[in-house]
Amino acid sequence: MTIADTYQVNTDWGSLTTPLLRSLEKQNGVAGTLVDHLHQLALAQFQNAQVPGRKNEDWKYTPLRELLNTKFSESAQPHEINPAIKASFKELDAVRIVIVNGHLMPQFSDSMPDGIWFGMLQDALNEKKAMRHLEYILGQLQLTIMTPFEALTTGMTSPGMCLSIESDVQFSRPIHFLHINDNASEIPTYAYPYKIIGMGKNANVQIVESFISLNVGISFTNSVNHICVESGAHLHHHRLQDENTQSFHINMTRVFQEKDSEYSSVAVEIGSKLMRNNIEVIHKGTGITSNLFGLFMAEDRQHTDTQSFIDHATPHCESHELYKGILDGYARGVFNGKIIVRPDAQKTNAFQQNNTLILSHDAIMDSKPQLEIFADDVKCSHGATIGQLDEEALFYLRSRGLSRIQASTLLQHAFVGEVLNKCEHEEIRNYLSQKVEAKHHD
Amino acid sequence: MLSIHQLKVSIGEKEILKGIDLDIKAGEVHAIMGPNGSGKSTLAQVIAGREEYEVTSGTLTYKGQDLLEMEIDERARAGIFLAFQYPVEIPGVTTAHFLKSTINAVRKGRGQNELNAVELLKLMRSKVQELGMDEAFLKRALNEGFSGGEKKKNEVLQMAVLEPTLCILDETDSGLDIDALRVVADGVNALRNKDRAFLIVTHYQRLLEYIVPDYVHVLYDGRIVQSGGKELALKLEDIGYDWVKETAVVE
Repeated sequence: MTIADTYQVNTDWGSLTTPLLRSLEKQNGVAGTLVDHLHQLALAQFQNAQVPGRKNEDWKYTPLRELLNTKFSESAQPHEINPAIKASFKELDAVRIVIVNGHLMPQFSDSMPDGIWFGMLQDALNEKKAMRHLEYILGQLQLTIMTPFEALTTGMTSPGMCLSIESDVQFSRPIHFLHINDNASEIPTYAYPYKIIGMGKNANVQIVESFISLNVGISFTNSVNHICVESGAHLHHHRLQDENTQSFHINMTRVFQEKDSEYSSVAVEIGSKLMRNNIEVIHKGTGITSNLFGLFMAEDRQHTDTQSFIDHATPHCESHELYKGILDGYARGVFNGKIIVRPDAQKTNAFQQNNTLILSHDAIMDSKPQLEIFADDVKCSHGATIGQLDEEALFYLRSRGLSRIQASTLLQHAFVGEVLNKCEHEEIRNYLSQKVEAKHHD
Repeated sequence: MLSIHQLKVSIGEKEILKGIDLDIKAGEVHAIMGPNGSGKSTLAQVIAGREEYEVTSGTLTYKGQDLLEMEIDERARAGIFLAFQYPVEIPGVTTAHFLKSTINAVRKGRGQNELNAVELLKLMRSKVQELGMDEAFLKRALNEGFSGGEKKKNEVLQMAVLEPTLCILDETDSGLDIDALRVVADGVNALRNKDRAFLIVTHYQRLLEYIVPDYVHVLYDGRIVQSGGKELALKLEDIGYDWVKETAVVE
C-alpha cells in the first residue's frame, strides 16, 4: 500500500491540493532517499491541516475565500518560450534560471559558474555538497512546524529545486530565478515552486527572485524557499513580486542562519490581487546579522500582507527590519512583525520599523509589531506609523512649480527610496527601482 | 505686476486679513513689517496659493491674471516664488534631483524648452558658485539636517535657478547669524533687476539694512496701517510696534 492510498486531505482546501494529490499518484521519488524523507515530513504535517480562517490570529486580515473558491489546474510544461520572456532577460545581467508556470526550463537557463550547483532535488542526491544542504534543511524542518501552505508545496515530489553554493565562493553577478506565469487562457493555473538554497561557509552571493506574469490569466503561486546560511556566509536575497492583479501569490522564505552569518533580504511586492509574503529567520549560532527590508505598494483592490518572524534564539545577534508601504484606492495592507528573544539570547539588538503611506480614503492598513522578549540584557525597538503624504511638503514642492501629481510622486519615491537604497548591488537596485517606477506610472 | 485690492482672508472662523490694498510694480522692492500675529506671513502664503486659507473677498491679480483662479504650481510657473520661513525637509530627495525637476517643470510651464542633464548640471553649478556655496550641497537630501543658514541659502539658490518675476521672502532673516544674513542678502540683491519685484516680509528692520526696500508697509491686525519709504523701517526700529498699535487704536 502506498501513501497515496491512505493520505487524507481536508476537502476545504478545494483545488489547492490538486498538485499534491497528483504528485502522490505519480510516486516518482525513490523511497528512502532524503528527498523522500522531506516529502513524507511535509505530507505528515499537511495531513488533515485546517484551512486558516478569520479566527486564526495570523490570518485575521487576509481572507482566503476567493482563493479557495477558484478552481486551479495544472499547466503543461511549455516547450517554447514566449518572445516577451526573452526580451525581459535584458532587464538584469545575471546567471538566469527560468521557471515557467512552475516548470523549470533548462534550455533557457544558464549554466552555473564554478562552485555553484543548481538542479532538481532528485539530482542533488548525487551531488555530495548539495546533498549536505538538503540534509541540513531536512534536519531543521524536523524541528519546525511549517505553515500549511509551506507544507503543501514542500510535500510535492517532482518540481523541487536546489541551489547549492560551495564554501568560500564569492560571486557578485546576480543569480536570477525568473518565475513566470504565462497563462493566456480562461482557466486559472497553479505553480508551486520549491527551492532549497544552501550557502556554504564564508560564501557571498547575490540572489534575485522575480515573479512576473506575461498574460492576464489567473494564476496561483505558492512558493517556498528553505535556506541555510552556514557560518560566516552572507546571502543577499532580493525578491520582486510583480504578477498580474488577477493572481494570487503566497510565499514562504524560511532561513536558518549559523554562527557569524549574515542574511539580507530586500523584498519588493507590487503585484497580485492577493499577496502574502512570509519570512522566518531562525538563529542557530552567535554573531548573526539579519537584515529584512521590504516595500509593498497596492492599489485598486489589491491585498498585500507581509509576515516577518525573527527567532533570536542565540546571544550576540542582531536584526534590522524596515518595511514600508504605499496603499491607494481600496487596497488593504497587513504587516505582522514578530520577534522572539529567547532566554539565552542575551546581548540581542533587534530593531523593527514599519511605515505606511495611505493615499486614499478607502485604503486600510493593519500593522502589528509583536515583540516577545525573555532575555534581560537586550536592545529592542519597534515602531509603526500609518500616515498620509505631508501636506506641508506637498505645498513646498508645488510652490516650486511641480504639479500635485509630480509632487506626490516625488514624495512617494523618496519614501520607498529608503528601502531600495538598502540594496547594495547597483544593478539589482536599478532593476528593482525601475519596476517600482513602472508601477508608479501605470 | 501684483495688485491686491480689499483682500480679506480667513482661516476657519478667524479673519486674519481684513482688507489689504497693495500694488507692486516691476523692479520695486516692498517690505511688509509688523508685529507677530499681524497677518504678514498669511499675506505671503496667500499670494503663493496656500489652500488652508480662505479668501472671502477682494482681488489678487498678477500680470493681469486672476491669481485666485490659479493652483499653487500654476502660480509658481507663472513666476511667483515664495522663500519659506521654515523650508521643509524632504529626506530621500537630493537637492540636485529636486532642482532638476522644478527647473524643467517651470520651463515647460513657461513654454521654454526643457534642459538636458548636462545643461541642468551646468546651470546648478554656476548658481551654486555665484552664491558662494559648496557643491556638495547638491548631493544632500533636500534641507535634511541643514542648518538654518543653509536652508535659507537653499531658498535663494532655488530662487536663482527658477528665475521668478515676483519673489516673496517670508521672514528670511529669522534664525540667521549675521554672516549667513549677508550671504542671503547678497544673493537676493544680485537678483534685483528692473523686471523683477520683491516682497519682503519681516519682523525686524535688520534684513532691510542689507536689502534696501523702495517701500515699507506696516501691517497690524490684518490691515496696512502705515506706508512709506525705507525711513519708516528705521522709525519702527527706534520706537517699536507699540506706536503702531496706539495709532491703529486712535484710527
